[in-house]
Amino acid sequence: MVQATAPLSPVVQAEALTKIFRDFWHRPKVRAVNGVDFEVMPGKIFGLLGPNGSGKSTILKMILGLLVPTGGSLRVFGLSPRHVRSKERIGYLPEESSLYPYLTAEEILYFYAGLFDLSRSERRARIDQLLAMVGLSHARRRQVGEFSKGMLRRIGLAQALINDPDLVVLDEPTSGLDPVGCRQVKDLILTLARRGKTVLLSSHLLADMEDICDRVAILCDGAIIVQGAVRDLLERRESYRLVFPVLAPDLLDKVLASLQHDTGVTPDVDHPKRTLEEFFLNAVERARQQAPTYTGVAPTSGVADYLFQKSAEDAAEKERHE
Amino acid sequence: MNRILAIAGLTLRSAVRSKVFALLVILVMGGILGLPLIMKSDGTLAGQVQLFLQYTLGLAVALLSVMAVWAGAGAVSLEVEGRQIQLVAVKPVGALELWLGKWLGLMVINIVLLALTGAMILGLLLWTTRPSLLSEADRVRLREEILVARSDVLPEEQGKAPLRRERHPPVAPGKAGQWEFNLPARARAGDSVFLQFHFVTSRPDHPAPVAGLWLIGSDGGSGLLRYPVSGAANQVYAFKVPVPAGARRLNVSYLNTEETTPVTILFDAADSVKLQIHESRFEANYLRALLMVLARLAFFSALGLTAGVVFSFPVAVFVSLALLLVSVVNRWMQQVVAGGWVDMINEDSAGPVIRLGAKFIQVVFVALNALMPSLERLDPLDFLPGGMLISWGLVGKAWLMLACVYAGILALAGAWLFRRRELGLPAD
Ligand SMILES: Nc1ncnc2c1ncn2[C@@H]1O[C@H](COP(=O)(O)OP(=O)(O)O)[C@@H](O)[C@H]1O
Ligand SMILES: [Mg+2]
Repeated sequence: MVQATAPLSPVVQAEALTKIFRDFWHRPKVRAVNGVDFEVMPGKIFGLLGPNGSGKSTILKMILGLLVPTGGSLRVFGLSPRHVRSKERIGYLPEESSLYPYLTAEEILYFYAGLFDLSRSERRARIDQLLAMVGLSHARRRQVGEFSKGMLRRIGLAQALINDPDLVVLDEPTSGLDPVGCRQVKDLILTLARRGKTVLLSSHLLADMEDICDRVAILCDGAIIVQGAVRDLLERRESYRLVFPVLAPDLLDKVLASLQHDTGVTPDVDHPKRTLEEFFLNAVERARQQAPTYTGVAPTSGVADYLFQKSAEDAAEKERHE
Repeated sequence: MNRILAIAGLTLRSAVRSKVFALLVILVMGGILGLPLIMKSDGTLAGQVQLFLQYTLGLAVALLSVMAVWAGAGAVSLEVEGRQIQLVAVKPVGALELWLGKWLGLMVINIVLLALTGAMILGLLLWTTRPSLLSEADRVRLREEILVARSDVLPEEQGKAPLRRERHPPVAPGKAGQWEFNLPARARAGDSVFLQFHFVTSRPDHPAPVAGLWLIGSDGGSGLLRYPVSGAANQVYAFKVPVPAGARRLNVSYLNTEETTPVTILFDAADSVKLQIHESRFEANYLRALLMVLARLAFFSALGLTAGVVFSFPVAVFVSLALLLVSVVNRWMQQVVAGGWVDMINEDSAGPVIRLGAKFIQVVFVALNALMPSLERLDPLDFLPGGMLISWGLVGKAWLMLACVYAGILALAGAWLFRRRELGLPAD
């Protein structure tokens, strides 16, 4: 492996970022973001957490150049967020799907693909792969105006990835999705990060964030109250947990007795629990195997191939260097 | 270019799939079909055809203009409201690319609608004047006088520049007036030209008609042609004159032969006496008229589009329709201003507020007039129903001014304003 020589520079860098919404007479109305500092490093999954109205969407929109910061500085790929060159490398899933209702799923993706310099055949190939990835291949000729919320999230996610972006900005990516869809999106996000892409997402669904984020910032009323690596924030350093396979009762008693003898503490013993998510996913999986018909979203087919192509090229590149 | 085309295609789709739009199209088509039913003409065939052209084309231009402004105003403002623009703005699309893409899409709509209505009007016209309905003589006359493109040749004054505003000397009873015409090369031997004239009498109470005799000679050598006429003042008359072989000049004189109630006759307008020569077929002229209308629609679409970048949809429609009106009545506004709008107000009875108000309106009028193009000068309906030539030069001028200069300025302004707009403001 080749070590990167230059220290990695952050993909997104915010310093004292502030946004004040004004009313018609230009009087300050809401201080939605209040002096926020954070950095998103390449290849990491960064989560913005916070209750409703804490300023998550506002921060993301400023990063995308849809809102202009009132104060502070904001750089994306080292450029101003309104720079066209940085937009080439970004994919964005807005909080509310605002797509053209009269277009079909396929037409929508074709339109957005047309805004990037992609050849016609490349566009077609990517659209096919993306539709398969988000499980909407069978609905490709339906107008998105008649899509359910979950289907809209999926098509929104597909358009966010059409340009194979280096930075993926997802505003509440799992809201409106069923648990199966949630898991898929989370897996996709993890895959993207493994692929070297940077993911910045917002959510108030803490379980989702805990699963996937490398780093989180917790927002409250427009200010960051806690920020750090998830592992550091959640680890309880005052105790350990040991996990054994199932032991015969007398063996367990022996282990406990020996532990107590050596350390002087009495450990708690219980069975580790599956998460409800894991349980649900298994149940649905079993049901589907028995009756493989579906009405809403079809089972998906892994991750779009083209999202991997570049990494294959990168690998070849690396080999040549070595 | 790819991006511009993608946006143009989308704009087109959104129009085609919108119900309001379908409704408007039906309205335009219905209006054009229904209008001839309620038209009242002077009863002559020529009058009927002229009125048909004037009304149906006039209505089509008015409705298509409003639609162009409407669709233009909605193209961006509705997407800002519906937040669809946000997903476009986060893609690497320049503001000018976006504007041009939208405009191009709107232009395709304009072209399709104009071609449809244009074909419909022409079809209706040809159908209502079809051979089985009209006598051969009527058809020939129609083709020579109305359904044709002719241009005017004004008289020379002793071989100098054409008469401008100078009056021709009055023609007293028993006396004659004289005019000389240079025949352009286009009016070749064997063709006919038309001599058109109108006059006033020195006595407004004179009982019509007035008798006279036109004498037409040429440098072609053949003798004098004589055309006795008799008619009332203030009407336009025309008769056909064969052009002798080899003729380059026509000498025209009018003899005042009225004997029952002698009166002096005045040919006092610049075009009181003129020749009309055949230039092209009506269909070609019609096509040029439609192209001029298209230039106008190009401008209106641009106007609506740029207004929609700044304002919400209803405000954008209102503002651009108001500006559309300014450009349509530009000349009238100039007259109001030149006619001393402020001076017309009575100093004594009007208070200072009214005078200030009038002054303000005058300033607004002058500013708007200076800003907006004057479409009255580029109106194909001034030419087409009269059978007058719309030259390619005029078409080019309309396109240069409206579709290039004005639309270009609006494009730059629109792109500049778009870049300044905070598109994320309509909150989720
Ligand atoms: N366009 C806007 N105009 C005025 N206030 C806004 C606007 N957008 C968001 N806000 C306010 O800013 C605050 C933060 O909103 P937002 O960033 O959407 O929160 P979150 O995404 O965390 O739920 C809220 O109080 C919200 O009402
Ligand atoms: Mg939000």
